[in-house]
Amino acid sequence: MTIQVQKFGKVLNARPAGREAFLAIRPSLPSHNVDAGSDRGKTEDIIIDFDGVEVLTPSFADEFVTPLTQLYPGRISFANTENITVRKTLAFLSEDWPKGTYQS
Amino acid sequence: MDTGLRHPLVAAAFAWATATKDVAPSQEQYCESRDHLNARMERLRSTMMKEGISETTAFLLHAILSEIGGNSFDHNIGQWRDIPGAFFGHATEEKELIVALADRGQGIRTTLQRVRPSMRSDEEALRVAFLERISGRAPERRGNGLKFVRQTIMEDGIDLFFQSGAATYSLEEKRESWGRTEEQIPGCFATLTIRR
Repeated sequence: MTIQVQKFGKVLNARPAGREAFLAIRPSLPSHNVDAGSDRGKTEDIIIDFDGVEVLTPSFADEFVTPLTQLYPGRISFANTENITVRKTLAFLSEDWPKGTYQS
Repeated sequence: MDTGLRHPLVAAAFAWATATKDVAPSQEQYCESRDHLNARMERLRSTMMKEGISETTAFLLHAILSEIGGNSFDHNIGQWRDIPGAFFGHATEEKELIVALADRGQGIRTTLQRVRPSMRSDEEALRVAFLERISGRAPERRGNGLKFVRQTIMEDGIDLFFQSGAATYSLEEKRESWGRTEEQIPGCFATLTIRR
């Protein structure tokens, strides 16, 4: 599953907005299927794609990305992380994520 | 701080943050809500890029300001001392861009005492805010913002002055210093300088 982060905006910079974004995406996550007894969520990887994102802050990402890293340990990957704020935010938060989740 | 306070924008922010009367700042600088703040930060980024400041610096400054300004709203909702919201202004000078933020909220020490009641001084609180990962509203995850700010400007050469209570922190040309001043700011006050 690929999450196109820019669908939540190009400037992602507030904790409440990150929380709202996570609540919005959660019903469509594979974990939903795990709860329902499906096998899909047990094996599907999650790609978090930052294409088009101009500003990402730790406040937003800590509410949106961090829960995903906890729900899918070892199954998260990142795409289009060239933006400086995306790189710095992911590198900063990854200190608290499961080891190896993000390689800067 | 003496040099920075000479600038009218910085002086206005400082005066507002320390005023005993609860008068709102000018409409150009007053952000009553987070939406106002976001709109002004967007406008600043647009201004920076028109003036030839690199896109990378503009994006980074937007992220840093979001963390500092966001704290005003995240930690003071329902607990403003008088006027809700934040002061946000910028000034473009020949050799630098100056941004000033301030709020009339609870300040760093009061916020952190909610999760660390033993905290006794503004200086200790400011060091914790910039150096440690701690939550001001535990058990929610909070408190990473200023550490991110410090780390980022250490790497990218944006200058910062920050004060809450009597404690000050400054980072100028990647050299940081911690201090104490007589003129207290109950909430928070910050200036950032980007040299061209």
